Amino acid sequence: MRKHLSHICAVMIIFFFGFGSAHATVNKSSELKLKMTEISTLQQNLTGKIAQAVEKKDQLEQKSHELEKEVRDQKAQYKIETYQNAILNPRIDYNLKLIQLLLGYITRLNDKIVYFKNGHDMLNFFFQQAQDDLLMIKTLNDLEIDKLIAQINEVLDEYIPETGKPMFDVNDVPLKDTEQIWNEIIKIN
Amino acid sequence: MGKEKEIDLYSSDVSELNFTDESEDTIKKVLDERDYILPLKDDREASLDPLDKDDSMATKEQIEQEIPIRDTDNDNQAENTPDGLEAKIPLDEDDDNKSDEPDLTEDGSDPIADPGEDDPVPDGSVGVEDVPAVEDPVNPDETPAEVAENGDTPDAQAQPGSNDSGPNDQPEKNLRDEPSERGSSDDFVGLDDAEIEEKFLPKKKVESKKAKDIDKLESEPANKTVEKNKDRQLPQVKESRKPAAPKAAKESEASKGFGKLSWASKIINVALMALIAAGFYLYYNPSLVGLTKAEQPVLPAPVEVIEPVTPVAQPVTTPSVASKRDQCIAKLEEAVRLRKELLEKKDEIYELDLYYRNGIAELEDEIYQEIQKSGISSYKEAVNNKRIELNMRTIQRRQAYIKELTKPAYWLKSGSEELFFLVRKGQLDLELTEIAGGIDLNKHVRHISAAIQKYRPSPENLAVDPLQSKVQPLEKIWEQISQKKNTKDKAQIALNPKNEIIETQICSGNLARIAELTSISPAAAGCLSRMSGADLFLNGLTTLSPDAAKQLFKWQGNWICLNGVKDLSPAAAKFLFKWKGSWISLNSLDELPPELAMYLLKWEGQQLELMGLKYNKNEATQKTLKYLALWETTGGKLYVTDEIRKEMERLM
Repeated sequence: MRKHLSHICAVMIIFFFGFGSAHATVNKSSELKLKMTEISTLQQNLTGKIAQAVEKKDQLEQKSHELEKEVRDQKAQYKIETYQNAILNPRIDYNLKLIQLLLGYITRLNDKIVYFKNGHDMLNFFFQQAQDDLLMIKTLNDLEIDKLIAQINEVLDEYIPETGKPMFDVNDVPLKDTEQIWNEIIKIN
Repeated sequence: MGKEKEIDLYSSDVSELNFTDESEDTIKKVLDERDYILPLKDDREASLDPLDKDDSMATKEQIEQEIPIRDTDNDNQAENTPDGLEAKIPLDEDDDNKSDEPDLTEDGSDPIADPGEDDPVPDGSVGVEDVPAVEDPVNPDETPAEVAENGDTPDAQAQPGSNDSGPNDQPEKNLRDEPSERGSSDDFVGLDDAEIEEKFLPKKKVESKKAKDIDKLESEPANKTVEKNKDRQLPQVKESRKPAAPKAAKESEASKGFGKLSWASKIINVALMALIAAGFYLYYNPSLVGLTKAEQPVLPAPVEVIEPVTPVAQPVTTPSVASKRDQCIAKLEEAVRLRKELLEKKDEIYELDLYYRNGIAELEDEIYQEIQKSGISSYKEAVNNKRIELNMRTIQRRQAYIKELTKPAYWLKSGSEELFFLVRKGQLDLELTEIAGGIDLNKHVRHISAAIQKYRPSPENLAVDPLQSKVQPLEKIWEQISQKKNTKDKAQIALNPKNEIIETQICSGNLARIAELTSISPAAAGCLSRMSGADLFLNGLTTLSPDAAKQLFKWQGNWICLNGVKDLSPAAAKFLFKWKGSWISLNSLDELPPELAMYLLKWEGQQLELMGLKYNKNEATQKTLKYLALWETTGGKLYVTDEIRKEMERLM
């Protein structure tokens, strides 16, 4: 009887650990798959954001070029040579201020585009690692993935909120000196 | 109902229990039921009403005449009598059935042969083929009238002992009335049996032989019971066969039964009508039973519900989010409108300025002519000449006006530029609201509102005071006029020798050297204007005085070439563009001031060549191009360089 009980206990323990191991493997796989899905979703969002930022940046650059051309026309019409005389012309003065603002916006958009691209690349890196680990888990039934999950979570936590935020604050843009802008414009002419 | 009655009937008699478990022919059941029902009914009725005895007997007589065929069959089957065998065969075979027909028509009243009878089966063969007609007698849903037509009595459906003899009696009456009219009840009985046989035959054919055997075995007890009843009824039947049955009693019984039937049928009819009416009422008012189908036709109801909701939702949802943006957009539009207004006002000021300048030029010409005429050389002499003095004072006033106009012009320009800047900045931030934060649209609205308030054109803002302005002294004006006079005189003296000779030749009619003219006097221009021809080439002329222009452009030709003229005064341009010709060439003009171009709009000619015109990025050139484009829109054709053409297209 006692021997019989011990056999039963042994079988149960083996079954328990075996089942636990299998269950852990399934959990890791599903966790990795979940993270990969989250990465894909965030990558799509970041791609959309990058495209939006690039489109807006192009529009701002176009506007800036138009304003610069207008400044050059005014300079030629009124035969303006110096910056001091240029700012006396209201059209040139206002255009220089607008160009200053546009350049600040473009700078911030460029920063954001680089930031989003970095995030996209990083997510791509972790996605590939997750894919590799998933294959490893399927083959070897086990692999340490906690560190990878933590890294992925860190990136996700950083970039997911950014997709819902404005790309930059108009009150926090670098403003280039208008005289420098004037000099750059007349150089082209 | 018929089935239920049958079940009740079977349950009441132990001998009939075997029938309930069998899937026998329902027609057979009906016949069996009649075997049981009628005797019981007749017994009870006979005991209650002796007057009905004869009538009941008459009914029994009919039924016995109907049933004995079947009963005889059964009896014969049970007793194996030769008569019984003979009676059974006709139910199974058509030939035998036909052989029975003479027996039925022996009385000389064969109903089958009579096409006027109710029997729809004039031929036995047709009746055999009409299988559904055979099943009708046992159909519980069949109406009594149909049953009567089929020649079957509804007695089979009546419960034993039931007082409701109406449905039972009506067919009996029908069955009885027809033979009675013919004067023989036996004929009716024979007809009824024949119909039954005809209609039962197909059913019999369908039955299998085994089923027939089973029926025979099972019908034995029932037949025995029927036989007993038949034995009891036999004397009555024999009596009923006598023609002594009073016809009046039959009719009274029939009318009595018909009265009962009409009363029941009335109730049923009324109930059915009430049911139909209730159905219609409920169909059109389903809300009474909790349905809403009836509300569908009322289409305006949902519309009325939706309409009040939308206006309420709009003011609630939209303002909080869209108000700032919409307010900013509205303010931007207001600023754009104001800027346009300011620019229009600025153009008006420019035209006024131009008008004064042209007027000054004309006055200077008049003074110049007066000086030449009077031989005035000093300021004192000029001032003493009232005409010259007044013209100089007019020039002085107009110069003051021109000077004063610069203030509102500058104010208007500043306002338009500031508004333009604010509008551009506001539009830029509006475009960035999707991606950028910290955009304060209210700030834009405030700034634009302030600018609008500041630059709203008003008499105060546009006010000028020429009297307060520093006017140019008359002496200085005289000096300017004298300088211009000396310049013109020098030019004329330099060209005089050659031009005078040519002019003399022109006035004498020799036009050979007109192309060599570098300047032309009004007199010579007058001579030229009288020449005939379509073309006039004066490409050597570099200047054209207003007086010469006045005379020259009286010429009635088609094309005048002045491709040497590099400078054209407004006064000369005024006469030039009053010319009635159609083609002017001015290809040496590299600049056409707007004040000259203005006169072009009044010219009715068709072609103007300005191939020497150069594009300068200044406001005056822009205005000139606008005038040129406008003239072209009136139907004129303009010859200019591609660069000018592009600029004109861009402006338009």
